[in-house]
Amino acid sequence: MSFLGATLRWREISNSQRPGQLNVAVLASFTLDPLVPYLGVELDKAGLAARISVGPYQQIVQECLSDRSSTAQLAPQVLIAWARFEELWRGQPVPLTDPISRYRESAMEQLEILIEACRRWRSTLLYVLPAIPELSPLGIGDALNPTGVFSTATQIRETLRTRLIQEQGALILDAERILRDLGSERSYDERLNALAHIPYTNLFFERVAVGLTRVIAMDRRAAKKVVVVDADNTLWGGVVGEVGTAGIDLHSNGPGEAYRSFQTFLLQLRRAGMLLALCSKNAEQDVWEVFARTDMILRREHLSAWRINWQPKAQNIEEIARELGLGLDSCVFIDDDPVQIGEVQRAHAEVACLRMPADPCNWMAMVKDTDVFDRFPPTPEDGVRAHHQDAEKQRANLMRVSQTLDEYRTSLNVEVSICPAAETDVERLTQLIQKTNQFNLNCRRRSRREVCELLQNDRFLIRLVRATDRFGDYGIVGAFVIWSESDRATLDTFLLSCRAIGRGIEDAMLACCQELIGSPRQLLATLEECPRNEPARMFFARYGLSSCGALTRLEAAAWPGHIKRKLATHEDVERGDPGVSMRE
Amino acid sequence: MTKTNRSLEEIVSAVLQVAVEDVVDEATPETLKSWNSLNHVHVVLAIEEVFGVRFSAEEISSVRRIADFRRVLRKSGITS
Repeated sequence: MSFLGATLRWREISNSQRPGQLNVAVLASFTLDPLVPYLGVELDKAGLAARISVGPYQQIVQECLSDRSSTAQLAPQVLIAWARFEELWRGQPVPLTDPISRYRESAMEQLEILIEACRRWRSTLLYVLPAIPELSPLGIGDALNPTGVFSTATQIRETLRTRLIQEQGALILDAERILRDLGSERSYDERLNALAHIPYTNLFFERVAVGLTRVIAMDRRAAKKVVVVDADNTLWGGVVGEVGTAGIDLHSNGPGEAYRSFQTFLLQLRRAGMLLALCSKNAEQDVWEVFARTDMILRREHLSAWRINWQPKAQNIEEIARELGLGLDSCVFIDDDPVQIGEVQRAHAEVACLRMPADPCNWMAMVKDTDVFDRFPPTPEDGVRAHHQDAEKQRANLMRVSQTLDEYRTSLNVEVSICPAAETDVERLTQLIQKTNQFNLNCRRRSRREVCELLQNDRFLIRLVRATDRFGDYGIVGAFVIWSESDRATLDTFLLSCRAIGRGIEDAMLACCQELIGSPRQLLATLEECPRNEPARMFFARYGLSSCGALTRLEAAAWPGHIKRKLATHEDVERGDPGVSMRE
Repeated sequence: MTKTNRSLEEIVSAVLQVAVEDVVDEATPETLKSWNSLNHVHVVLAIEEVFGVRFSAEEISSVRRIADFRRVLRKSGITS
């Protein structure tokens, strides 16, 4: 988008005064006003109507130290801070022979001040990790200098990153990544830097705006959970129904190798916590024969679901989502055929569709330019999610052979432990709060920063639920939050991952809530109707919450007899309050 | 000679949020109040993009009135 186009569009958006505006403040060590229209337009495109204010130039520390500064007065929800090494190091020689500590201190001090301000203002810090400066007095010889520009900047960047990651709720955009994508020639504008302290080009600011928006969106939305891939000309070269298993191209020299590297990428996604599914118009036998080839990297056991038939793909994807207990908005669909993509997109606008390029060697561009794979580093639960699906299949088999539901539940040997949430649980707790749809009292969503605030407030009782059964460890599958007052307690949040619903764990959780608050205090809750929370509504109806939207007293729940109450582990006790899980 | 959809006056008017009629050759930062140093850069960015040109730092800072934009554009072979 042109700068003029973005400026006019942003003016239009700002004047429309839409509700629910995201309050964003920007502080930088240089003039970055040209970023604002791009950022406003990008946030708007992502459905995040924003108000954006730029703080005074080169005043990051001053703005953060005072609670009366113009930035503080705005009480921003998101504070974007961007200090370049070029300005941080101004007034001293560029790194050459001095120890790195000489350069590190100013950056770290400034970061601490930013972190402290964001705590006071309850803002999410979005820190732009500065790009490595390009100029060195040694030229290409800088590479041989352990205290040179590149080495010093790199080490400081890692120290900054490490510190930011420790700070729960802080976000990072790496300017180096954008600079690398664009190349320095298209990123820097030395004319504008000399005239107005604007060091970057419009194009660079536009890319930064896209990056910032992706980070903010990643923080506020649930990540995608499943990739549904087509087979012919997506996973391999050729149409198996026409050329036969042997004719399929998976050769290590040529386009086949590109398909194989795409398969490797799919396995990386699986390790990061996504499920893989297959949707192909083929004879099922043909597809499995190709999967049996030794040069296939993706194996049948990597797939959590598949539909290989002649039905419309839109219908197949809907079935796959239902089978995996996921919403269509959790699905990514990849196909080489624009007709299939068009059909799926028309039927399900919420499915993110990607088209495999005609030349498979270009698959990397397809996945690099999209935000559909943006996600936070995996929690332990993400790493084992695909295994959970295998255990789920075994449970389904047990269900089939069980005579009654009670018999099934009893033979599962479910064990539950319920522990207070600790600081280290923020990631998982946030993930549950953002993602859980079906078994959720009110679908109240919170950002990581808001979850951190919950944890710091003693009036909230926050418990995490861990469960195991004979087929495996579910990990942390549920959570509840109680707002505790002297005479009564209110259920703020009550959720359970869909893969653990219907085993009595939810009854155990509710019993635990009531034990925690202790009689004679009453436990109240307001059930909300949300798009997919029917399972939660049915459950709460059993405990007296028959209508939505009204604050109602919950009836007593009992810990189910078939669920073993697991003692808190030593580790849980170490984390503080041994909680109710110690009470047998 | 480059032809574009927008005239110089229209670009300046859009960025500075002033009436097109006020963007006359003699107009200066004194007569157009929103023409401050930051908006000066914004106008330059918009003109460069629309006309597909690139001014030098000296050319950018030599602009004191609207006619000067016309002059530096002419140097790049553009009649605005």
